[in-house]
Amino acid sequence: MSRLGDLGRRAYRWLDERLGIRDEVTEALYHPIPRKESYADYLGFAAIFVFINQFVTGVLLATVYSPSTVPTAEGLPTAYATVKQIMADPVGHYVRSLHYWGASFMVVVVFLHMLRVFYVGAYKKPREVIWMIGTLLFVTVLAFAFTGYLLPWDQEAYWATMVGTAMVGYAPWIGDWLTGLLRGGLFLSGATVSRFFAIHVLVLPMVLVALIALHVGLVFRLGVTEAERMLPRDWATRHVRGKVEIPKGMVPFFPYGTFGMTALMGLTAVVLAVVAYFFMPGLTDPADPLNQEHYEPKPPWYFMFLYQLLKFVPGYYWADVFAIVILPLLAILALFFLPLYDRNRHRSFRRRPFAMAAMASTVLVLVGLTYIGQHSTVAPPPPTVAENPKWSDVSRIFQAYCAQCHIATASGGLSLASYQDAMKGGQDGAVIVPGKPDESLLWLAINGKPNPANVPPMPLGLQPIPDTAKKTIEKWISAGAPEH
Amino acid sequence: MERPDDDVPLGGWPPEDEPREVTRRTFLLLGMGTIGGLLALAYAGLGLRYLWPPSQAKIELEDVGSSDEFKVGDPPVLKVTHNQGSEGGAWIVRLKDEGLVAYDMHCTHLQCPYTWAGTSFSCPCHGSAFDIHGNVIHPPAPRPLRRRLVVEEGGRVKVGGIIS
Ligand code: FES
Repeated sequence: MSRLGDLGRRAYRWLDERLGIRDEVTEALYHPIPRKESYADYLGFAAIFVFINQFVTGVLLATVYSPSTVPTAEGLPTAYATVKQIMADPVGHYVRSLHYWGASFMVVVVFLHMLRVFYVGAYKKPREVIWMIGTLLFVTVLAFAFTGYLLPWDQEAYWATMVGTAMVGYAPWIGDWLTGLLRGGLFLSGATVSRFFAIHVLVLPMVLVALIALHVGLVFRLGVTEAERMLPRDWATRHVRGKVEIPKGMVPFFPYGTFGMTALMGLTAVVLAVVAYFFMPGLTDPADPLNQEHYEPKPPWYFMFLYQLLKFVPGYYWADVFAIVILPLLAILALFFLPLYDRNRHRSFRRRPFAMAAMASTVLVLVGLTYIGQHSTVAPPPPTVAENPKWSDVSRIFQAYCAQCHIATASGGLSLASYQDAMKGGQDGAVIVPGKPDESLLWLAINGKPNPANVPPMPLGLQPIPDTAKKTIEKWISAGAPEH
Repeated sequence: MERPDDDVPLGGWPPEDEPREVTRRTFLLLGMGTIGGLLALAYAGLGLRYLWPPSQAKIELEDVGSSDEFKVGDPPVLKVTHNQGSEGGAWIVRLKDEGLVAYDMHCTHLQCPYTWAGTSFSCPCHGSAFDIHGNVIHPPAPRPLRRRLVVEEGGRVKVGGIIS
């Protein structure tokens, strides 16, 4: 044991003579932290763990995956076929599951880390640059998620990326050119997959590692925020390299803080492993550029807020430019420059009411939009005609087939969210005439019949309402559209 | 234990005791900066040129079927095309007043695939709708459907790139 330890020490000395790393290691390992710690302080470490997971599983996936859309012997696009091949083996499937869930974990952990840093005011002087690099890291993580999403080349990936890259097209003047540059053509093709692959596995990892090195290096150099009150004012600039002084009331990170760090990283690992085990990702059908099966495009959950937001945007070009390009850009800039325009010197949340309100409302809006977006389609009602249909029966049908435009929003002024709303009708007047389906705009529209208001067949471009459900609605209107 | 090196002053740039004129040092520095900058520009240009999206001007016509497949009064039909390597399609319909027209299959809002829904085209993503002439009858689509070049030659229908 001691001989092994001796060997280790000698090896370290040998290396240090050549690399001169001892000072950095000492400073990183023994930097002072407050005696009282919070696990939320280690969220950054959890993010690093997830990144390691993404890196390892990503390398494994890349040994089989091939970024090409050329059809294989069975006629499947190569990219899709190789992902299928990975999933055919249980271990391969689990590796993909870890990578797939790791992406979601990354977004969540990084977001929580940012919230924590915001909450304790850790972005304030002298740590402004750490925060700014953190913002860049956040953007990099989103870019990872976006480029990785396309690679399986299934319907889900294809159409989400079609819409995602089309958004770039709303950038004034250069939009179309940028979209073309991203896609390597007018629409998606094999060129898009190879471009996204190159960005995903070559460019972004390099950017991420460089940014993490700066981010973490600066944290070590400047010390943790909570330590500030206890450290001498000029601690960061005055202290001697390789020598750490631990002020009163504080403890060195090693071994006192390593427990919390290991615990949080371990917890993240266990949760990720379990989730990835029980919820293995599948594949939808291979990408069909003609979409003959009428797949309904939907973004991954972390971009759902944007998707949902777009449904509230009126149909003017500049309104779209604002919602799709300007708003997100402003949000990122606001995040990036936060430490420069937030002139409040206090860190305690009690003395930052405005910042706290801004944080709370941002989180609420994001969570709210995501929630509405995720729940805008529900399981279809039973495929039978209801006996004595009441509002509750038809309401289920509306929720399944009309929610996107007439429950989440009130397209054309018509909301089907409640009985009263439905009976009130929309901008063309009442849509339900009790007892007379033939005169009810709603019934005419869902049957694609000509009508006085020229309403197009409903639901617009969505899955058509099955005949049994239409019959239920007809019976309900004929019976006088009863509420109970 | 302090390192002796730490005592050697490194000094800032430009050194305070040197006159601020183009010395050999500043000249060297400027030269290196210029060369580095030029190299960076050259590589950036090379990369851009390499990745530049293919031009829209090269439109190759593709055969999508025979002329009598499309009759006045028939609903629009979706035909597969391979415009510039990206597989896609066009809705083709023969209109009484305009003759044969082809609409690119992607919605003009965010390029989801719309479908023909009996009396109009409609898009599943955010609910846009277009009439048979491609005009918007329901937002959020900001502009009419994109039209593609369509020609009839010897009883065959051929579709080219986007023209509007
Ligand atoms: S993409 Fe068609 S409505 Fe948005």
